[in-house]
Amino acid sequence: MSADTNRSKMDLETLFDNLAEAVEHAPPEDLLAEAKVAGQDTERIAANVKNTLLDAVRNFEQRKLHAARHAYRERSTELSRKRFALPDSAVERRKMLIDAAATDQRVARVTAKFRDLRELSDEDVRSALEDLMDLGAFDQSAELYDDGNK
Amino acid sequence: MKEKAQVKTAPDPVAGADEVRQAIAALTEAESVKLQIAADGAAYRLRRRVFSVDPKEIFNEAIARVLDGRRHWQPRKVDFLGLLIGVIKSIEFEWRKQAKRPENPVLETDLSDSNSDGDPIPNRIQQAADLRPGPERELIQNEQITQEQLFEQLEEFFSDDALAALIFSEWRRGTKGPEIMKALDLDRQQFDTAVRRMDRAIKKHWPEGMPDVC
Repeated sequence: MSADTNRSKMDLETLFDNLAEAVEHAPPEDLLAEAKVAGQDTERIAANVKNTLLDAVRNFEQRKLHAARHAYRERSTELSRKRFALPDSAVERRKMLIDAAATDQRVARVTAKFRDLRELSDEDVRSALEDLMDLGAFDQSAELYDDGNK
Repeated sequence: MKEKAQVKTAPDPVAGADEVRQAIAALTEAESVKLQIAADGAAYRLRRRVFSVDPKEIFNEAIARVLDGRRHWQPRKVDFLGLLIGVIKSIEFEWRKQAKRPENPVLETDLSDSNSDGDPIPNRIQQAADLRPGPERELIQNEQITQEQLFEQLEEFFSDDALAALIFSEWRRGTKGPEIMKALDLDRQQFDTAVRRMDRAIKKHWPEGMPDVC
């Protein structure tokens, strides 16, 4: 067939599809045999494919995690803009945490790991309160302590 | 006549990350090799148009599509290998189409400009194009050929493989695979094996990707 006198009825895209189909329809064992005949290290190829796919799953999860973190940070920033100050005194802060744990189940679940909130260090109390505030766990109860502390 | 009672059945569950991990771990050596060959082929064919596509990128996109729900995998209905082969095919098809018809309109500011010496300054589209160096790429840029010229070259490559040459020639005439198989009394396996020989010959001749055609 001469291209000049008789143009192809096939275009390049169709050629690509035809080439792809020859792999798509092939039994894996045929392709494995061909790769081995070609001298390829098929065990290594298979291991690399699995690692690449597992990495892809991990990447996806990390992207999701990063997106969640980003959303969380955005929310934290938003909260911090309208954030109230924690009570000045350590005693008041501890009281705030204990009261909140007693009245708010969400806070109670978070603080359940501590055997006795009264034994927590002042720093741990502050840290727990800040975390809970960031999570919005007790915005309303915190506001109760907001008076006079700004 | 009574209407048949409609039985509501629960939808087939869609797999999550853990199930996908298990499926990956369960891939056999042959299945993994098949995936690699499929991804290599897609990346190779895309290389003409899309900058720097490699098989890893295709695998990443395939897994992302399965996990983010763009492609629902129902393990009870579709085997994992079949799913991924199908997704790789879709990715190649979509990316080829997107490269052909860019989603973003071409703006006036994207058009070529020239510097004070009158030399052309590449625009954004040209910069995004595949400009990797290498003698073959330079040849491609300098000597863009027509589709017919490319097909002529391909027929020459296959000239020492009678079956491949015949299949390619029939493709050019517009004959479809099943008709060729019937006419030549080939089964699917023989046909596909010959086509894969063509594929390997093409990649061997143009390891950087086939030349672009005008």
